[in-house]
Amino acid sequence: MIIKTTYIGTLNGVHGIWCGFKPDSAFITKEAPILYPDPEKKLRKKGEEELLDFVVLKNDDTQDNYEEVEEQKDAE
Amino acid sequence: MAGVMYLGNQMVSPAIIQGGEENPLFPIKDGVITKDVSNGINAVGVKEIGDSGLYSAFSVYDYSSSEADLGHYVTGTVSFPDLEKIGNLGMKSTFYGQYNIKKVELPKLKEIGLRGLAGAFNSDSVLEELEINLDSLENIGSYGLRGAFSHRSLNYLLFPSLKAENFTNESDDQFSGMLSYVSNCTVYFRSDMQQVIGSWSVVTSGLYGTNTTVIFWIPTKIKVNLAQENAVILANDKVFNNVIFGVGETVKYVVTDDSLNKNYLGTESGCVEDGQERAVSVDLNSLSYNKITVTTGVTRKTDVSASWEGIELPLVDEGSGVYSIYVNETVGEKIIFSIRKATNHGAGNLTITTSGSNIDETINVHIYTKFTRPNLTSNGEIGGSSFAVTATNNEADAYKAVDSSTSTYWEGPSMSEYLIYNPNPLCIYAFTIRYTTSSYKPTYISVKIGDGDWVSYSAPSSGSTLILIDREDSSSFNRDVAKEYRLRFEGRTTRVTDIAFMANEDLNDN
Repeated sequence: MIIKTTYIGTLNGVHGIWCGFKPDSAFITKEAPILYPDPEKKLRKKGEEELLDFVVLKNDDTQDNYEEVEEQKDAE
Repeated sequence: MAGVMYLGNQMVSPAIIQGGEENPLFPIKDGVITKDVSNGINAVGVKEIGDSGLYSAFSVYDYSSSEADLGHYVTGTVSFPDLEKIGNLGMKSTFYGQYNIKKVELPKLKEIGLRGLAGAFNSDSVLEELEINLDSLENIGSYGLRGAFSHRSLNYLLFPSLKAENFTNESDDQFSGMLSYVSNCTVYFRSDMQQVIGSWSVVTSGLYGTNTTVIFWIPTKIKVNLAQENAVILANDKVFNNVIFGVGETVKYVVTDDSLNKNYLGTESGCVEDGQERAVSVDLNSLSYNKITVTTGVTRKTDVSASWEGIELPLVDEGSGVYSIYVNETVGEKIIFSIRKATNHGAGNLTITTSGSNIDETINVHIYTKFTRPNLTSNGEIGGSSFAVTATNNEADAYKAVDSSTSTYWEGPSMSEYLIYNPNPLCIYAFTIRYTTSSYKPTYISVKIGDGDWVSYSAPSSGSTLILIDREDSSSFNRDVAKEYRLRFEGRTTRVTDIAFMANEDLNDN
């Protein structure tokens, strides 16, 4: 799993969201750490059942609270 | 059974492909593919695809190896010019694995049902470019585009017509899996969508893609009617079917043709929102043009470019490093000519403001001359007026790696540095370094050009020659010039008999 930062702000007067990178001249108003699983895997919060494709880490939530499980591939 | 093939695991009832079942252009009737689709599909007249209507219809999963030769691999453009609605699972996995589809035209599609396009254009791991027109799309059902573009090179997705009122709850999963296995895609939503979906975690996490950009923009639309068939529109904004979808309230565009001597610089300001479309007409043959000529001394055309408002203009190569462009008679427009640096010349820029007349200008760039390394009989002086070398160890012998003999050598311990100096900056784009034997060849060599960073190279596993910095025929050869090049030898004691290099010299620097 990996944490990437999403940057929210404006660039040349246009509102935008940049996931995993920050354009040089963008004016950033908010940053959000996002936890992603490795390819072909999903995330699961320890002790819970639900499988997740990503987690927006808020407050005291950390990467340590999650584990990776193999993804079930389908025809989509 | 050439030309006719049964569908896969889901049979298609013609009754649910409403409006298209009798259309001779549509390649499915009564559950079979009825014509060669190797040149694409143009399904004129099909207005609706019902629930599971084209489920997996052209999926390569359903092709046997013998059937694959019957022309059922769809190539080029898939167009449903009249399609307005796709039902639940209507086009689920329809073109799964059909990676030769480059363009999808669904210009009137308003609604996608539950999993309506899920997996539809999944290339099954073949990374090929795809462009899709969803200009009229207003609503997406749950998982409607899940995996629709997986493994594709999808530069952008444009949603100029999605209605904010149709997106009220993130848990409806309308964007779930939309950019699965898609990287570096920019998704454009109307600015009023930001209030609704701008904070959804599915959006801030990148709509399931990698390095996604999401832009909320004013959906300016300019329809440019072209008088000439060979005319094309160039713009930094998105162009579909001669409609420019602008980001912001002013749209800049260029209309050009293949004659190279007609470029119309277009500007539309104060454009409207909410899907209204402004129409303008451009007749290239009715305009007068000015010729703007620049003399550069740079003979390779690919090193020279011209642009207006960030839009690259077609350049005419007049020969001998002279280039020109033609623009419609206009005053005050700024044309930027740029020359990128190369192994045999430096960089340069010139901004020319149009005056309504022809213009001739010169761009002064440093043109380099071929440099031949002299054979030294002593180290010389670093910082002096002639080629010189030195080293951090066995300094007095440094010149023996650049003398006329390959039997003499300079020896350095592991982690030793060797400095090459020339009073005029050099662009060295290839090194060949010879050693006494392979036993005295380093494991790694690093190169530092001027004040740049160290770049490390692995020594080849056999032989005593090591070429550093890619050769000139590579796309990544060195283009920098510097008076000093440092070589750092690592891994073992090194005995260098000769340091040869290919280089050009900037005689204009001093």
